[in-house]
Amino acid sequence: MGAGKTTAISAVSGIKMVKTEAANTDRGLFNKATTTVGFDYGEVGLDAGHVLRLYGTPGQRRFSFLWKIVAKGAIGVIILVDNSRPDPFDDLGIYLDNFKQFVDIGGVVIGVGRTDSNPQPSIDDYYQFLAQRDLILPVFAVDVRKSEDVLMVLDVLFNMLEVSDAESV
Amino acid sequence: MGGDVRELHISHVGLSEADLKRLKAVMVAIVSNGDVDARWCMGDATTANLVLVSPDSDVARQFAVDPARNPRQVIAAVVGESDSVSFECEKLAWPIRLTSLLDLLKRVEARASKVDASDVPDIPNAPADNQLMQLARLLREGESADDLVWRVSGLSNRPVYVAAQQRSFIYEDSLLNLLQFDPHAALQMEPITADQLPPQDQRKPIRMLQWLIGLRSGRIGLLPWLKAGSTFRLKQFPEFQLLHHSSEHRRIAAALSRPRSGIQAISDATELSLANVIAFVNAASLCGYLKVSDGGAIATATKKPVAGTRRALFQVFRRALGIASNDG
Repeated sequence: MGAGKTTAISAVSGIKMVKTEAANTDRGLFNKATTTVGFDYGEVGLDAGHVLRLYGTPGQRRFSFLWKIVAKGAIGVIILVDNSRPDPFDDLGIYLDNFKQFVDIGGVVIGVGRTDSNPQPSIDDYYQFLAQRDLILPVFAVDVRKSEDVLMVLDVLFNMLEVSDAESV
Repeated sequence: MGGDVRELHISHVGLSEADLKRLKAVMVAIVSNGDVDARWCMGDATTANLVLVSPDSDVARQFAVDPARNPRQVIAAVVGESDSVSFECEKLAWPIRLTSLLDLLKRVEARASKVDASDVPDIPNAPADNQLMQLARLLREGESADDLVWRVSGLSNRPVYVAAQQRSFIYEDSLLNLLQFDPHAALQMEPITADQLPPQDQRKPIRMLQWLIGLRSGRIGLLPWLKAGSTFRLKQFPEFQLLHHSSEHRRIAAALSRPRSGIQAISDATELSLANVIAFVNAASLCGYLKVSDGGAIATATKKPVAGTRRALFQVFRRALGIASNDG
């Protein structure tokens, strides 16, 4: 929670986003007024009327049943981790376990938010965490308010999926 | 591409509407006369064999000096007979005429044939005594045993101050100026004392310099401590949000999320030129992003056709999102 999923989708969505923000009742865990309780939804218009759909899911573990729903039909996952959380590695581990089917094919990119105000753990620490799981996945410090950061993360995800495709032909 | 006729691409950056119209008309005449051996088509500037640029255009200048640009491209500035150009390139006399453009196309065709012949992967290491390699060694991750600060002159008009152990450098100008240096240029490296340093608030993370030097060093070959046949894999992805990079670099990085046996295998997997791959590998090595092993060949995927995969779909996504394309 608080990693910036709603902001990230807003940064690239071509339509006014559908948000499902509600009052945050977990203020002890994270001090923000509202939080996502359903799907955030954004769209990017493609050729011939097709649409790239971007879904954001709530980060709290109690919403994990939604993660499985949104993963159906998804082609890849961007995990946004909030570096100001007490144990961001614990959060990341939960997401990696729950989106294992994407981890296994390399269809995951990890964005770490709020690194300016919370420089620890460092991005190098994230790579060490992944190495302990024998994983090499892209990890970037991102400012999701900047569309160029969000687009860079998306492009790296597309590249990871292309590599995965080429090797599963 | 089919048959025996090679397809080459021409593109342009920064040309005026009038010059562009003239270029197209002259190209049509050349192609319909059958004066060239290759099948010439208009293409994207990032992948074209020949790119005509206007030296008056900032975008064109930027493009011409970009170290991430494919060094096999021929850049030709469209200029008046007596005009000079601030960057290294061919010249095409303005206004564009059939004979001068035809000469240029023939030269590019000849060069492309030579490049093809040398494409057999005999990948050289840069000579260890090259001064840029000495700088690379100084910058190499984990190599700095002392806390000396070095003043490096010769990369541009202003010196670069390198504090390798403090993981920072100082350069009192736009980093874009560091994209243009000649990798064969004479460099001077001298240790200095702290009181000779410019203001400390201008320090930048050393990875920005390591990355630029690594990319540029690719023009003379692999860094001396790398072997073309080693197995390469990323330990971590380059900090793209910080580093000057191209879409090709993102593609190579993704390919190197898995082990690859040899430079050629990376080139095959990404369908990018060896020059591009060598530049990336050098830069990633200098920054400490790369894991290199010399054990026996491992089972990595060989080149497979990507047609029929979702590549086309991702290209549609990129276009819609305004992300620079890998494929042009």
